[in-house]
Amino acid sequence: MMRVHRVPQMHRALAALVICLAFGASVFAQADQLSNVKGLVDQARAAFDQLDYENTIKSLDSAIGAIEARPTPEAKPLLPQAYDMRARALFGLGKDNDGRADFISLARVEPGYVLPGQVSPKILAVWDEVLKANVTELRLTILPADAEVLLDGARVPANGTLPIAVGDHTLSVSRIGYRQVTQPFTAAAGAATVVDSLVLERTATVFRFVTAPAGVEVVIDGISHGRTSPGPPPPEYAEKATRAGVPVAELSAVLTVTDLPIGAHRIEFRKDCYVRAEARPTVDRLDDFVLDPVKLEPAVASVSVTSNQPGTLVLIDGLQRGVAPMTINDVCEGPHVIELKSQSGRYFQRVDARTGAKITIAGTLRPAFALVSASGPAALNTDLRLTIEKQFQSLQSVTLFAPAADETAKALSAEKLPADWLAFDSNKRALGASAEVAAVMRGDLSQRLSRQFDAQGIASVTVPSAASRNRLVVSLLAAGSSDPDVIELDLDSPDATSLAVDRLDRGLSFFRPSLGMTAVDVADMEGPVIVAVDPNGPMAKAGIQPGDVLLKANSQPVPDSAVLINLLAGRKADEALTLDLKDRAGAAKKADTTVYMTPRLIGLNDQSLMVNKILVDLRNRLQAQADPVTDSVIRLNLAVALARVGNWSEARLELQRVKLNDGPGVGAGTVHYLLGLAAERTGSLAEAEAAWRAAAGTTALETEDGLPVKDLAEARLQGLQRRPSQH
Amino acid sequence: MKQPSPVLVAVALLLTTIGVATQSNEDLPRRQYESGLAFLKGQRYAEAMKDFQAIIDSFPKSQAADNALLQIALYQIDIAKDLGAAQAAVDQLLKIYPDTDSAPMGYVVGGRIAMAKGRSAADVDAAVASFERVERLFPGNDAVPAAGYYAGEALRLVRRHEDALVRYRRVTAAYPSSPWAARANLAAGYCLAQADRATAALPEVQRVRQMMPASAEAEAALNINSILYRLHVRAPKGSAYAFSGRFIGDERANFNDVIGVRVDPLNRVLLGHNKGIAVFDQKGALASSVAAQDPSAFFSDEVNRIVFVGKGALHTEQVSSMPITTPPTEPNRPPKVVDEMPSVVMTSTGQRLIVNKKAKTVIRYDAAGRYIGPFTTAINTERLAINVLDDVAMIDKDAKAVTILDRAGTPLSKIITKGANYQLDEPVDVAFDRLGYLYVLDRGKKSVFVFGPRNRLITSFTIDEKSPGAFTRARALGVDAAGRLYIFDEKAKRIGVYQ
Repeated sequence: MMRVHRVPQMHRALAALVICLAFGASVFAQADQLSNVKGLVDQARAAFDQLDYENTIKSLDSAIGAIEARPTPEAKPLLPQAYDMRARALFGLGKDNDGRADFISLARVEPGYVLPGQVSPKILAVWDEVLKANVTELRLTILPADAEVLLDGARVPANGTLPIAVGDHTLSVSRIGYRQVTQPFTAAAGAATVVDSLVLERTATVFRFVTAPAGVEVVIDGISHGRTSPGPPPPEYAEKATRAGVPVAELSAVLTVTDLPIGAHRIEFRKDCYVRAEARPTVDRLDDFVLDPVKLEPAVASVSVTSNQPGTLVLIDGLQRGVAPMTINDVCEGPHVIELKSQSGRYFQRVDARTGAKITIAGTLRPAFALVSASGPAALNTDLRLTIEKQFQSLQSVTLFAPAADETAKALSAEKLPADWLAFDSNKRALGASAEVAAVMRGDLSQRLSRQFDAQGIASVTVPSAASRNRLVVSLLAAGSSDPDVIELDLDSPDATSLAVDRLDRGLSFFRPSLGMTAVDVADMEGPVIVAVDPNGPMAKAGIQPGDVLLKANSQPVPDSAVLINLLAGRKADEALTLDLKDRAGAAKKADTTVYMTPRLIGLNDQSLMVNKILVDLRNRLQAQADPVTDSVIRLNLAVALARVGNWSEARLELQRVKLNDGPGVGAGTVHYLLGLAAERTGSLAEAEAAWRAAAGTTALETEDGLPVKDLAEARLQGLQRRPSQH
Repeated sequence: MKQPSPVLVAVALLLTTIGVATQSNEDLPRRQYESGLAFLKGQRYAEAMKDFQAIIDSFPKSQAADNALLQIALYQIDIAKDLGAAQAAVDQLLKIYPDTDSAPMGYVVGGRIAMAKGRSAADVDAAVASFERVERLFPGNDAVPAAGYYAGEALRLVRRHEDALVRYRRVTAAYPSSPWAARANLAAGYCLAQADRATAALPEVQRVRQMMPASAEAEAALNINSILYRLHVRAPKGSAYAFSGRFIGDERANFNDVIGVRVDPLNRVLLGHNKGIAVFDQKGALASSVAAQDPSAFFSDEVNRIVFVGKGALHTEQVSSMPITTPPTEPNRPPKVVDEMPSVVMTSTGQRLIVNKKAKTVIRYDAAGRYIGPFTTAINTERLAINVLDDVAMIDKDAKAVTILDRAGTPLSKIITKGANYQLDEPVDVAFDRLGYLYVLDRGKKSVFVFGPRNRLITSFTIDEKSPGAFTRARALGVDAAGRLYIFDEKAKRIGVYQ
């Protein structure tokens, strides 16, 4: 018998091994295993129903072998019925000992198993016998009742009676706030094992929090204990939520915090953009504390933004929020940087948003220089760029801003530039690595870096001397410029900063009123003497001649040219003026004339101009609609500014778009002269010559108070003649 | 709480101490420097130099040391006219403090010294090179426009007017709001006038009054344009001058034994007579007088003291007199005292050019009356005039002409007795204005002839004998900064003002 009993067992073991190996080698995972096991069990059941016990056993050998080899949670529940079925099949084939062995296995796997369906008395007797010998009872009474009770690792109720297999077991009881108890015991056959009045020892308080919304940081006595995660919480919180007036759907999951000592505590509930909440519970005993759901109210302000330019992007703390005009209703309480940005400028405003506040920002975009580098022996841990940003915050015409340090470091690193690549002293001498950067390269870099930081230009700050660390030099480069403007600041002297701000804010005007004549002051004369008259101007038409002395204008005495200039300063085009004069012979004469506006032009060589600032300013102005004459005069000034920073090709393009009339002062002759210079610089000598010849035939001036372009153009033409022949 | 590291505390204390020490180390020299500047302003030069030297000796590493050296160099070249001392100060400045704020101006002063030493092509090149170095080495420094201006000056002083004009215009174009631009405008006016482009000079000079209306340069511009206006706008269609109706001095004053009339750089009218030198202010009121017995000629020096010659000596107001002698012509003989000195002028380097009437020579002396050498010989003259280039005009009594020599005594040109549109009859006095126009007072013709570049007659001026202000027996002539004429007439015994 023994052999008979063993052989099938060996077969079953071998089959199980084969299946196990096959399964083990398979790339299929548990799902496949479960599916196969289920299939085998189903096959076994079909065979069993047809009383085909041989095939039933064959299928179940394979199924049980597979489950025992890999007792997954999904497969394990199939094991009792598999043992049951195989036992009955074995009984059916008369293999009672093998059937009995399967019943023993079944009782040990599931002590509470109840044989289903019709069972023969014989088998039932065997089963009862097996139960008697292998199964007994465990009676549990554990406090607290909600403690987690694990019997051999499987969860069981904390109170009641349950069947267990005879033999060694481990009971583990735990609950948050209590000391865990682990208790091994041996269950003997025929007698119940009783675990009665097992009371866990309380060791800590337990707080449970639920918030609305989720994501709230719970800070107890200044120490963060985590954030609530999205809910829902257990159903028992529904009532609490109703009481707190919070929709259940908004509630978070429960956040449990233990180990709070006896005493008073301060619990803060924090979440960005929400008003903080606070609770101050006092723990007088070790216990569980469950707070009602904590609802945080939103803490936001509304910000309405308008801009002086259409299509302006609005950013808050660097995040794009839309296009102005717009209102943003969810700006969190706290400090923010509101930024407006367009192709021609920027506007910054730092705001401290208070809950419920309505903030209005009317941004005037100004051309901006991004402070990309700082160099020199600065004080430790000082970002000089931020110092400069602060020093120049009162600027009205341009903005200097310091992008994030990591961004500038990344940008300079990408260009392989050291911090002192744009370092100059107050004498405009290149310092350090700056001396190695060629003008052309500087122009390219200013273009690229400006674009990278969405600015109209870039800037740097340098401390030229360790002996005076509070003396800083700021270098400005408009996009595409190779020739920087330098401004010195003395942090110990607010006056120096004011002067620098004034210098940068110095405005440009593009026209000035004129009468079309030149008057000079002469000692012992009672009014300015007219020494030249524009032959096509209003004075000539009114009969004024060189040598006449101007005495009054609109009955106001004009004792000298300064008074005349002041008198004209506030006049508009075509405004009438009645002049009282006397001629060379001393005879009185009167003349009615009108004021006209004459273009103004910055000096091509004027070193006192902050030409990079002017350049970004002029580019900005061109964005606005202007009449054709104003547009031309702005372009003419822009061309000169471009020429000043070495960008002659762009200057030439702008000059070609300028349309001014011939005449004295700044006019078509001025444009011709400058076009000649641009053509010469860009290698077109023939064009330069033609332009200068055109200029030499005019009465135009280099600037409104400058030299006649005739003289300048003729000098240039002579210079061309002196050049060696190109042939 | 974390306690700060003892090392950090020590470093912080050390830094604080150094800061305090540095502050006090700078404080004293700074105050001494300001003291020196105050003395300079008050023309107390010895005290000023003491302060500056003390800074250099005691605080050579202070921030005021380089400034002090620069001030010494400027004093030596502008006031003391000691080119050697000025050069030494500049050399020290550029050697010890080559990177300081004063260094660029040191190069400028170096260039000026080169020009003061001589006006050869090499001197000019050296000076211009020194000026150009400033822009090259210190491109954004405030001294750059100064260097540009002085580069123009170097060229102007050697009569390269067009080249000078280019330099001046670079300054006015590049630094239009700088005081140096104003000076460049004025100097450009001079160049244009010398280039016979007076009408172009007028607006150029007027620009100074627009750009810097309250400045000394604006006042100078008014004066220059007044000259240009009279000579080039009012004349030739009308008379350049008219009697102003004013006389110098008291209404009833009659001046006797007059030896000459001069207008000094402060625009004071100096009247020399046999009892001394009377000094009148710009309005014609007597301001002061210097007593002297029979002075023969006079001028005011670099610090506006009255200097006169007479009885074989050079007398400087409040300074002991120095005998004027010439070296003996034979060995072992004493120097010969020059006892007839009808005219004296001062050059830009402080030399005194004195006419030795008996010897018919003009002799150079230094400021202390020490003999330097002859300026020119074989000329019978009693009247000298000198212009800003140190050109000296002298009336040749024998030839009834005016001879013009350069600063080395080399003849430059001559205004002959009879020229285009004029004839000299009895020239008795000469004067230059600040634009270099030469005014010749002709007693015989009862006229003033004004000569411009290349000795071209610009205009002449006379007043009908019966009209107020007529000068029928004119003796002496002065021209002020605005080109007003001050003519002493022996018949009227008064100095009339013509404008």
